[in-house]
Amino acid sequence: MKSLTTTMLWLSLAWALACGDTGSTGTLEVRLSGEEASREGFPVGTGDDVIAFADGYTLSFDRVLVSITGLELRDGSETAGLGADPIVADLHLGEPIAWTFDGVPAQRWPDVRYTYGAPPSDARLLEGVEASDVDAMRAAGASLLVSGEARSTDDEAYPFELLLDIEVLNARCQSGIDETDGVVIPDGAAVRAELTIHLDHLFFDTYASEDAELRFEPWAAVDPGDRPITLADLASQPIADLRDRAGDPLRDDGELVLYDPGPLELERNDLGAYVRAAATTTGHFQGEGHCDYELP
Amino acid sequence: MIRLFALLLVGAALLPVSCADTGGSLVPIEITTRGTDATEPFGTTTGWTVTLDEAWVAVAAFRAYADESLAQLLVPSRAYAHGGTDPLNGRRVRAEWFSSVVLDALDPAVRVLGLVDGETGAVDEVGVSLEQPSGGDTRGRVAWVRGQAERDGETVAFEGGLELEDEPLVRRVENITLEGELAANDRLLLTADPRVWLADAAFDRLPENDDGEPRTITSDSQVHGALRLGLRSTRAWRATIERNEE
Repeated sequence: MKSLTTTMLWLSLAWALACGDTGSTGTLEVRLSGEEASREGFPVGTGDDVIAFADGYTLSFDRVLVSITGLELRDGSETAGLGADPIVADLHLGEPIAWTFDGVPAQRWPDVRYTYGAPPSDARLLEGVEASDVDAMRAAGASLLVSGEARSTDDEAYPFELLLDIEVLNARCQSGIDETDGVVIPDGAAVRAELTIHLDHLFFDTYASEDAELRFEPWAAVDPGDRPITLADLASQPIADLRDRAGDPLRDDGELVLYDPGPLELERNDLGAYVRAAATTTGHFQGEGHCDYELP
Repeated sequence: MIRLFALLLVGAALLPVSCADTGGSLVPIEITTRGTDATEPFGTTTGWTVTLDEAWVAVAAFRAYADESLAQLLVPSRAYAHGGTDPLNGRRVRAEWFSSVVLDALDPAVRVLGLVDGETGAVDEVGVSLEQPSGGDTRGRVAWVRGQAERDGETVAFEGGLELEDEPLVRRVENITLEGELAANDRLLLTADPRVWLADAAFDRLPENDDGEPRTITSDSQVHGALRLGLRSTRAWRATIERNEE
């Protein structure tokens, strides 16, 4: 009997080693970031890494609210059991630590996944987030609230406020630090991971090329004048026939500007639907690490 | 000791099974295409009523992707020799046609392209790769259209083609829904619908020809941009699986 018990123990250990469970744990700290752009606006960066609008606009944000309703670490069918609560953060205010998880099994978790969703009633509001803004997000079914002001080269101001009613599972995120899958939880130590939100995606003119430009002129063209530009205003711009502020076909160096959604699925071929679809690609991991974007 | 060793060997042999998934088996799949009966005039978002006389599109390849929503519960599966993985998106491919074909998008008759070795199992999407051949029915473009558009008593005859730069993301159409299970001798049918291609075209923006000939869709025209968006929209394509009863 004793030898059978010992045998079973050895087999169990062998199985556990083969399938990755060693029993040791570490700590995971998760930070949210909209990078420098969320705090300083556009243009941002220096030298060859400057990110700026091709049509000369400057832009500043005053709110960048993101609602994260789920965060998981997975390895095949195994999950780390984080039990992350839903949170809302304002990335214009900084790079908050959203969660700290102790006792996370120490191993590589190749599938980091987090969800954008409208904030539930029990969402924890991180420092500086206004409850009234969260109420507005809830009412609109929005997981992102992005507002600010752009200025044209002739110094006209164009305030905007977007309530982006999107639900996205950002899954199988790759690390932007070392291009590996997911994150490694070290044994007996702590690691920090970052959910990075790329705001420039909202202004890209193409998703079919790596050479996307940021543009604001077609947004300014639908400015109502007496309130911030909204998604509904952007919906009046067909992407097959974009207009500038003068009402003329939008051109760049004489050539017609055509927004290209690439693989993004649009509900309609207008700028509002385009920006809404673009917002589903803003979630990244550890800086530049891409995720697979799954929509319900 | 020998008994213990034997038990460990058995346990070791069972480990890959307990940690891994099971894949599909290789079966023949019939690949077919068709166009859409667009003989009736159709409307556009820009208020035009269009009649098409020609609509051709050049396809380099298309593929049916495995439905991996269940696979996420398992350890990631291994790629098989014929199922394969799409190098551009890492998705598992269950069946693929990779010979050039020019579709008559106005011919609703099913055209059988041939048999491929496919992999049984659930599929959820089809991806299409377009190409720009030299000459032929597409006149050296990715697609070619000819027809008339009418609005408020104005009639515009038009013809021209779509040119696309040779970039993978530009010449691919992804996310074409296909829900079903591939089984032996099934027919995978890809349908092109040209009524979507010009949905956002402003035909009055095409320059007139002095000789009264159809207006040309030039690469710098709004209509060309509309064609670029329309043809690469998932709404311009349908994919279905049919049980082959023959």
